[in-house]
Amino acid sequence: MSRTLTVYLAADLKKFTSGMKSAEADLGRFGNATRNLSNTMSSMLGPALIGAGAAAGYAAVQFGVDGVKAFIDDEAAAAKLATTLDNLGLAHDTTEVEAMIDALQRESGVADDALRPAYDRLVRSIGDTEQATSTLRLAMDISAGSGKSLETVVQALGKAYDGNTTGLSRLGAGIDKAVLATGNMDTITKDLARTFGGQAQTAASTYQGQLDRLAVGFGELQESFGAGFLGALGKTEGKTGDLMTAMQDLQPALQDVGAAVGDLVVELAGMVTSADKASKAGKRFLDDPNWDDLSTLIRETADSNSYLISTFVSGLPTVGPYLNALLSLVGGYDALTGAANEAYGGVSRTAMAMGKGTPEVDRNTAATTRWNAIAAASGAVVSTTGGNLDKYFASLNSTASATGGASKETDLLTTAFDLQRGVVEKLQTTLDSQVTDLERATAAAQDYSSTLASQLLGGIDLGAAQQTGADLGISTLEAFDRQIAEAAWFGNVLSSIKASGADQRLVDQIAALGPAAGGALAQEMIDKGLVQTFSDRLVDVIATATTVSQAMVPEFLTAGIDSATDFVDGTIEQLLLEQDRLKKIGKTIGKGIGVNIKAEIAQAVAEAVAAAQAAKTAAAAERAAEIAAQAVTVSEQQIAQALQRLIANSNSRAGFTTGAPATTPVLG
Amino acid sequence: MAKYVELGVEGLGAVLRDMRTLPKEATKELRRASVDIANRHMVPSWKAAALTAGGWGPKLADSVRAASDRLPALKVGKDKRVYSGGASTNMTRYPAFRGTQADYAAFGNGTGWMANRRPYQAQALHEWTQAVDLIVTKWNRNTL
Repeated sequence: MSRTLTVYLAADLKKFTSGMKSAEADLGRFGNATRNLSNTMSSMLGPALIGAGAAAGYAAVQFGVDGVKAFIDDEAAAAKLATTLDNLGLAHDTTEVEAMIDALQRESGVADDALRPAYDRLVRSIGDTEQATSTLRLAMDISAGSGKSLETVVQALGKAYDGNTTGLSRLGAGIDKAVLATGNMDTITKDLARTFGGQAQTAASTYQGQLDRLAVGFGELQESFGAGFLGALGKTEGKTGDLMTAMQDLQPALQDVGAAVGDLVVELAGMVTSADKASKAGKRFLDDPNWDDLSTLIRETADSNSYLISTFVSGLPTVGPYLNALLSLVGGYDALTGAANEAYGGVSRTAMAMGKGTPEVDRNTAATTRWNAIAAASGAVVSTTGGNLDKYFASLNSTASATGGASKETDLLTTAFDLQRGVVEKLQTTLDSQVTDLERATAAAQDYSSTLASQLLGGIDLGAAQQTGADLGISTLEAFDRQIAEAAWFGNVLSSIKASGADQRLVDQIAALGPAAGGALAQEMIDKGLVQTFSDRLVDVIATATTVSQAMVPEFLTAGIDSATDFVDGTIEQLLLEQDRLKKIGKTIGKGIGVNIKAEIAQAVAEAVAAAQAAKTAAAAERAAEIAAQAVTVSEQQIAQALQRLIANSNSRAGFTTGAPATTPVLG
Repeated sequence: MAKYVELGVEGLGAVLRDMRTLPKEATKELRRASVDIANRHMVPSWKAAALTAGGWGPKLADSVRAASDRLPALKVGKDKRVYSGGASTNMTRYPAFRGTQADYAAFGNGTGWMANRRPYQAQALHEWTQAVDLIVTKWNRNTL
């Protein structure tokens, strides 16, 4: 079932009862319906009287009399309580106490007539307004839970605070005797609160409780009337005194009037006696006509009438002013009744104004509403500001938290990056070393080539060619050509040696010998087929030398090399493993940051849109409400008359008449 | 369905019953007039009041709309879950108004927002009576 609230501008009173119950049932889920009921009741009071014109006068007077009495009693009780508080040195709390009692009576349905004496009794024993308030609430709980009257409970509590807990034990509150014997009111009240806590609220939420609360509200309305009535007379004390004086002044006059009226009644009784005599004489004359008796009858009748008339006329000057005074008094009473009616109408208007609003009350209500709106808006601003601050601090916290989380991940990343950097640096070092080695190798190759070339060209010498030519009787050029041919032959021999599979080191050794010795040796190796033999022997001897030399290297040097090699290998392997992890971490962090940023942006946009819409809606509603408020120029009387006309026309069309007296608009 | 009546008028039921004797189009016109009055007077007042319901207000205000009836009426709250926590405006309407309840601690002491509506009843009721007059005059011309 939908729980949508439907608000009707108006409804018939007959339907209102069921509607009210429905509203009560609906609100029951959230506690009680009193606020709604009381609001509705206040809205109903005025219109409800539209059809109650015949009884309005009596009701108004009765309401007024009761209201004045209630106000007087209320004022007296308030004054008594104020005096008590003053005597206890708690006068500064009087306003707060009165406000508390007013709120409590509307909340609980227990009238202030009962609450004030109860509070008075408690504060006298306790001497502290705050504690008296809490004890009063406790007393109400106990009263509601035990069925005892509030007065009985309060007396028991008051005596208990005075040191006598006997009354409490008789309440049937189930307090342990040992607890009572301690006389510790803190313990006792806690025990009582544990037993009876919430009973008053529960009672107030029942239907009877709601009625009690409505009764309290109505009683307050009456008291308000009384206050307004006496207030309308002026200052209460003075005007009441004036009224008393006026009535006192009237006392002798009324006595005279009474006396005059009494005399008149006596004379009237004489007149009746005379008339009776005349009547009897006339009857006798009719039965037995006797003209002598007739003359006597005429004389007596005339005497009686003349005496009566003369007496009445003679009394008029005396009675007249008193009659006038009496008439004035009656007029005054009528005026008083009229004033009461008027005041009652005022109360009704005020009550109706709670729902509809007379122009005066409307203005106050509108002003109050505006202040409420301003206060609410201020509250909303404060709330919004507070909310923004909360969000800001939440954001800061979130950021701090996220930063904390990210910091851990960043630390991890940093560690990983440090590792990576270390590995890279080591790789770089290794690479640098390799480059250096390559450069060295290149240089060595170049050196080797140069060395080999120089070795091959070792026989090329122009000076030697000239000497050789002279020695042999040939030209220097021919001798030089022979040197070149020898170098070429040496090269060919070395190539042949190399091609025979000889170790490079053998080639190097032969080359180092030069073209003459080297060439001859190489040629011999080739001719005898000993190239491979020489090569193997050389390799073996080099290997043996290396082994022997390595055996002579210190052990820590080899261990360091091994360790360094392992470290490099391990780091590279770890780096490879970490690569995937780093990617995942990077993705996770990136994804989280992205999601957060996206959410923050979306939230900011949503808030901005909502704020804009709210501002637009609020502005539109404000304008519309202002226009509507300005348009409320129609009076309650006009509405009442219009409704009367509608109802009358409707009844007329339906051919229906209630036979009831024409209703008078209560607000007219 | 929760109901709330702003004003009680004795004899109003008889007027509405009498209106049924008129053609159906008259009733439709009365509904249209009532919705118009509700839109011009009731809805702005309740929306403005709803906006005073703190953080719940804007969505509550959005849920205020005129209802089609022969008397001006409006509805407050929907079952659609519009709040981030999954609550509907029907769920927040009274807690936001009433406040402190054990089960609704999030609403604090309440805002009493419904009491903040501006008075509109007099003008709205007056216009409604005028609308009824016009409609009855128009549709009942032959029988008067």
